[in-house]
Amino acid sequence: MTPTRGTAERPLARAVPYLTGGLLLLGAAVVCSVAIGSKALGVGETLQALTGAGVDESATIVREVRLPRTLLGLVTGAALGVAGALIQALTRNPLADPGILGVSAGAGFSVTLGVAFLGLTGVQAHLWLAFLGAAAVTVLVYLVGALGRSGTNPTRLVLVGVALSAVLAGIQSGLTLLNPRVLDGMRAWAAGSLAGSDPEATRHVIPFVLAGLALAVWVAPAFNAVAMGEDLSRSLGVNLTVVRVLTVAAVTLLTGGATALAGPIMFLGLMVAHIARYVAGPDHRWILPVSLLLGPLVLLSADVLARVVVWPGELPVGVVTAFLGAPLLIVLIRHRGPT
Amino acid sequence: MRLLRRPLTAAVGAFAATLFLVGCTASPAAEAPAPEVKAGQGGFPLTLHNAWGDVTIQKEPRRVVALGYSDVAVASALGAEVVGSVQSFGSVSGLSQDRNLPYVTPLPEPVTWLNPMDINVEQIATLKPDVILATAAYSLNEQTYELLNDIAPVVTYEKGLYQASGPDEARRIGRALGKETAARELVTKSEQAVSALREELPGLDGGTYLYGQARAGVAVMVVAKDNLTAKFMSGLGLVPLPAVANLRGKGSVPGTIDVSYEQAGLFEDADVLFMTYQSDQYRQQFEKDPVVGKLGIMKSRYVPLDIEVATALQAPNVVAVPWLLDRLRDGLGKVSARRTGS
Repeated sequence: MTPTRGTAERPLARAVPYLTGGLLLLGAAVVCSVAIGSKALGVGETLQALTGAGVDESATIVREVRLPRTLLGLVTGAALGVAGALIQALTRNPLADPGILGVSAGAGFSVTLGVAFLGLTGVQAHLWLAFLGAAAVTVLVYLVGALGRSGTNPTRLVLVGVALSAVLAGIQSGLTLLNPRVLDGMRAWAAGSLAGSDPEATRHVIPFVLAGLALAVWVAPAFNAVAMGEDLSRSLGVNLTVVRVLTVAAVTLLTGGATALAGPIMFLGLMVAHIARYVAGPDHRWILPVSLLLGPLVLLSADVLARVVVWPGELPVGVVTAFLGAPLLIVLIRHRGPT
Repeated sequence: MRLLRRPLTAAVGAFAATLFLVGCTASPAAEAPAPEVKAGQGGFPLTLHNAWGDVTIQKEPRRVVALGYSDVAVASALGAEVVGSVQSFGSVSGLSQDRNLPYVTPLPEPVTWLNPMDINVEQIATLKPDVILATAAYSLNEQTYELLNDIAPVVTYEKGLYQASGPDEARRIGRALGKETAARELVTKSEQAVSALREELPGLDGGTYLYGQARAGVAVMVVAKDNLTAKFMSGLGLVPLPAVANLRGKGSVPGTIDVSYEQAGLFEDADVLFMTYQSDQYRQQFEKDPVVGKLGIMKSRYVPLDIEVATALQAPNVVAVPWLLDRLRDGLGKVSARRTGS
């Protein structure tokens, strides 16, 4: 790519076209998300529905279905995109995703427990359960990962995260099989869909996602040092513990919030972080903003596809992201090499 | 969220398929069967043709294990000694405590309750049945069929799951139990119940209905004419609303079509909208959806159906029909009222 690639001092001038292009594409995705759906509406009809005071069916579809759904896509897409980039940076593992440290597993497990034993349903309950589970498991992963003489390191964290995810998944599937009511309670949530979004719930989650994004922005510069390895980053004056704790907090807020709203959406974090690194190079000060744009761009595009590919029905967007994510990942790895 | 992917998807799939009409494509043996062989005065020994081969019942069976809802309902109504029975779907899914079907006289104890989602061969073997009825056993496969056949003769479907009508199924069960005449009477009773309702509610003929299950952002609507639910409705004179039935596209389940809630405006013209739900959350999502919620039909002609009604409607057996008509009467009354202007 460019001669400056690989250095921390990437000139702003080089990033501007990427960010501008990303913004334009995101704008186009938002327009598509408002204009395209199962029910075909003309351009004029859509504009009238957006601007007019009508209460007819097209106004309902545009204003009460597609706009909230688009907002939900923006919020969850941004959250999952940035969470993916953060996790990959923290673990220095390009194949990591928000599931790898047990964050998603913790969130899902906690929601299952809440549904099974407390009978809690609805986004509000799921949100707090998801945060609680994500945070608890992340702390546990850290404590277990820090045991032993060598202290915490990314590889050990990943191993503990994966092992714990497997244990929690096992218990969770046992619970859902023993108690079919849990399965029923979680069915709508587990679909990974932007359909039927409740704007109230989205509004409730936005502050948490914003907090997560703010933390991400704060820790981003340190990741360039982290990428050089623990010893070197320490010698550069980076407090690794602080970086890790802040990153984990950010990932918890972002993944917990997005998962509580839309359920599990596979591959998005993984996919977005990869494309972001491909586009922006290794500088995390650019990877994060690019991920922030790419997350909603990919999610909204996938959702628009989800609305039309099985017309007159719809697919949960999670199905589309998984379908797109896996082959794209293979292409990226083949193209770039397993770095 | 890898944790949710496999176990949940598998279980959700199993539940979904159970709740809602499968079987239009399930046809393990499509060849035309040879005429059934009868021997002896009481009809026994009797050979029946199953999808996976012939089976011979040597003498009139006494101890019966029933693996499908029609099997329990018909066998019990014929006075058979049911020693093992599948439990109601409501009790499997944790919605109710009652393992008896709501339209069946509670089975006399002792009865061993079986999980319809998971046929336990060993459990069935301990019951020492003389015959195993599985004409509507939706989780049966060839391998399990062979294992069960080693325990006792298995009477399953002739062609495929949910391919035979309720009356045909009842007559088949009656034949297997040596109670064919009584089975015919059950069929007549069911047909009389339908005729009586059609007389009571004029205007059903040519009326339009929609029957669907709500899922994430879509309603899975019954449209195929050869599906047992559609046949039952057509027996009442009703047809699926053409505006939906004629949509191109495929449903999540054979014989259905998935309709996005954005398209819910299409539902408006139906004379009645029956809906069923896999969970309360799906019901809330459907009813609160901005497009669905504003439909006139939701205020006047929308009838949510509970899980037992939905299960019975999936393959209406002759014993269930009078009960089913009673549960649908309100909705059907709306069709009649709308069409006769009363």
